[in-house]
Amino acid sequence: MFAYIIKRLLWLIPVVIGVSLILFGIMQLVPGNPAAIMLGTNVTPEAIAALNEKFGFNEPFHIRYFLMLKNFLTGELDSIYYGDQVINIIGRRLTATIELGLLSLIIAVLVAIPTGVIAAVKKNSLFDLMSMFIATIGISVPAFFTGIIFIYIFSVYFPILPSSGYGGRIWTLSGLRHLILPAFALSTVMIASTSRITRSSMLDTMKEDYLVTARSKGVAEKIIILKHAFRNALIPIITNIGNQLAMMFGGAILIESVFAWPGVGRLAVKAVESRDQPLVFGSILILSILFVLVNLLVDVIYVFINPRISYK
Amino acid sequence: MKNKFLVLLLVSLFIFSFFTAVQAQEKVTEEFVMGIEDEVSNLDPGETTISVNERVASLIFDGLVEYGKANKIVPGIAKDWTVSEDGLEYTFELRQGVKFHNGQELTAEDVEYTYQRILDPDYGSGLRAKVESIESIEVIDNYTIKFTLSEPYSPFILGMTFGIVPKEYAEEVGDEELGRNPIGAGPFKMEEWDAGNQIVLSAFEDYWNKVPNIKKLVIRSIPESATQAMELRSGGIDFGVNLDVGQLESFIDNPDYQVKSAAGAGINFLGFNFDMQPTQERKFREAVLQAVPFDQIIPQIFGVLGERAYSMLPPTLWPEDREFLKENAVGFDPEAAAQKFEELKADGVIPADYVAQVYVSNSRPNQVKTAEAMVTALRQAGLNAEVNAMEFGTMWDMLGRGEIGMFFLRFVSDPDPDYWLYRFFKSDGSLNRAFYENEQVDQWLEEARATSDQAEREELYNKVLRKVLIEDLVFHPLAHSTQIYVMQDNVKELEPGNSLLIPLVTPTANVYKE
Repeated sequence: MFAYIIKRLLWLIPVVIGVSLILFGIMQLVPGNPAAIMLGTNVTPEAIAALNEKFGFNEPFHIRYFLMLKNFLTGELDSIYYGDQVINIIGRRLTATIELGLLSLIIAVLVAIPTGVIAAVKKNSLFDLMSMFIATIGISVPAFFTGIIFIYIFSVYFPILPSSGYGGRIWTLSGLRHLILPAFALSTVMIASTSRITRSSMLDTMKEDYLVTARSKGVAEKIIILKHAFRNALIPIITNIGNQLAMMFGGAILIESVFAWPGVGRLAVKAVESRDQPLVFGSILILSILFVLVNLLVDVIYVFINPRISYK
Repeated sequence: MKNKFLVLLLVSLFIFSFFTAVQAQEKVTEEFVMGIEDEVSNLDPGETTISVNERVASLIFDGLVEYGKANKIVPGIAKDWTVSEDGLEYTFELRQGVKFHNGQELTAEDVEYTYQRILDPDYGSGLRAKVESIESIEVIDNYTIKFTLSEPYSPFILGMTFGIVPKEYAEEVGDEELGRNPIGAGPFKMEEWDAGNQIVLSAFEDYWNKVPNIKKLVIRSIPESATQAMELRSGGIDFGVNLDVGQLESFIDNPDYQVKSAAGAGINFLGFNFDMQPTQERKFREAVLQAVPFDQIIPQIFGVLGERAYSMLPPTLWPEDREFLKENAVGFDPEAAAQKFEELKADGVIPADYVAQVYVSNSRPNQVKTAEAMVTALRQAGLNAEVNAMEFGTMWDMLGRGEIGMFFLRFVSDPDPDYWLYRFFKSDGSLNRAFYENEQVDQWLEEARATSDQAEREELYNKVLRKVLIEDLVFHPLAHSTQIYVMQDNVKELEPGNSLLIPLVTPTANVYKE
């Protein structure tokens, strides 16, 4: 197991090289010069030339690439737009993103899995139909719209929660109060997809022969569902949650905008808009590393929930 | 009885003193929260070429001179200045005892350092173009400084609004740290910067001008207009600035809020490329303008956020020639347009398979809507056209390379016609995206820059505008963007004016909450 984890971590090296090469290549192809965008209407040919020189845009492709990768690895990559080190800029945002991601994950798991299991067990019941109907709505309604509705209800109509902004770390009261609405809004999509997958995965496993055997042996229905069926249905559920969580780190852009949440999603968009190449490079690379790590975590969890899976 | 009297006396004394104290402090506002539309990235006043940065930095830094009412230049840190006869020497006399936030006194050395830094080509400041006519800077004594120009440059005084930085601190910490932990001599000082979320400033009690009524100022970046509206409704912010038309309507007749508007500095316009067929043909440009009912479209689309424009210059800026420009602008005449397009096609100027592309930045919804309406009108007049709404950076790049024939842009600048016209219409102007070349216009622009005679400058700029807008149809002005402030009803003395500033503490105002 330990060797497997090490092996997977070593895989990060080719991933970083591959992603960074593709990323850097794309950035060269995208039209738009960061100096021209930054200077806006104050642009003059001299000012552009000075900034190009300052940020080393005049060097050849491979030199710029290695310089950027080296600076990234040593933490010395400097953002053009923010005039600060990329690592600092992302570090400040990452906490907010992770807090938002984790709380919505917890909410989603607590709501979606019981709903999916009950819906599967009581297939075609009113609960099943209603919950799956709501889940369909949850998938189809964009999260930012849910977000605006939430703000209207809980901050304007019943003013109990702040409508936007970051209130501090999750363990402070103000931090938690600011976090609740965006976390719920973000979790809606995850709840919807996870509960549907839980339901269909449960339905699949409940057809298995070993459940018939267990029933014929007289095992209590509760144990059959929770121990035999649910545990075996977990693999696709965990996979789905893992994917959703990984996407949340980079994909919560709309929620971040609606709630003025200072996360990495908005940062990456801003970086691309301002053609801040070092920041695009740094932020996307960090997001890809996170993606790999979350997937590794999912694979490790598989071993614990399904003894048939082992990595040797 | 005696005791009772004493108690009564004491109580009334207490109440009396309490009320007088309250009266004296009634303008003191413990906390004021405002929403801005974008995130602040850097507060170094030498690099604030991005609008939100500039607006926030203007609260922390003060310049030698400031913008007063109607954008008139008024004394700032410099209490007085003189300009030599030939317009080449500007001598500023600084106030004594002006303090930076770290307690150090501001002297002429700091002023010299500030401008030398911006002039240094290696530093790459976007502000350099505004002051590059400086040939030398001479510190005469602690409170006197002289700028010598290489040639007369009449808008020079506007470059003296740049925030003065403390030399010692800036040299010690470097540019990066100065942008992150700014120390200036402005009304507010930096307390806390939670990047991407909010900036907290506090009143600088030793401010040379007047002590701000607002003691704690929270500036939150709220990019989504709908969220800003909800924050206003829930009382989360006292003041918001970038609401779109749909959000604004619900505040306009609501007694709990004040909605104030002022002619903004921005101009939305349509431009043509003079290096490309068929946009380089005057007949084609005229036909395009005749085909589209801009007078109807603009008010419908921009609503309260814009005013139909006939000049490139905002209504708050001289010279006043709008009546002439309006009366002589190309009007709506679809038949004439259709006929011109027919003739141009017959002459081969418009190729048979030609599709006119109208480029617009997708981050400007009002411009996109105008472009869509325009394309519909062009098709009705017989010209095949489509909208190309793209991300601004990409479009800006294509514009620079001369790949775009028709484009929508928005421009904001400082209150001097030179800043607006020289860059757009001078043959080698840095923003000459029309690739327009005219020797006469070049000469007028140069002359207007060199003379300090106001009447002469007005006449020259009128000539330029009449030539480029009426005769040559280089650009077609669409709408002046209106600046709209929405605030809670208890906010006082906050008036929209110069859109490059946040007017919380100005020569004429000191904002507070009742």
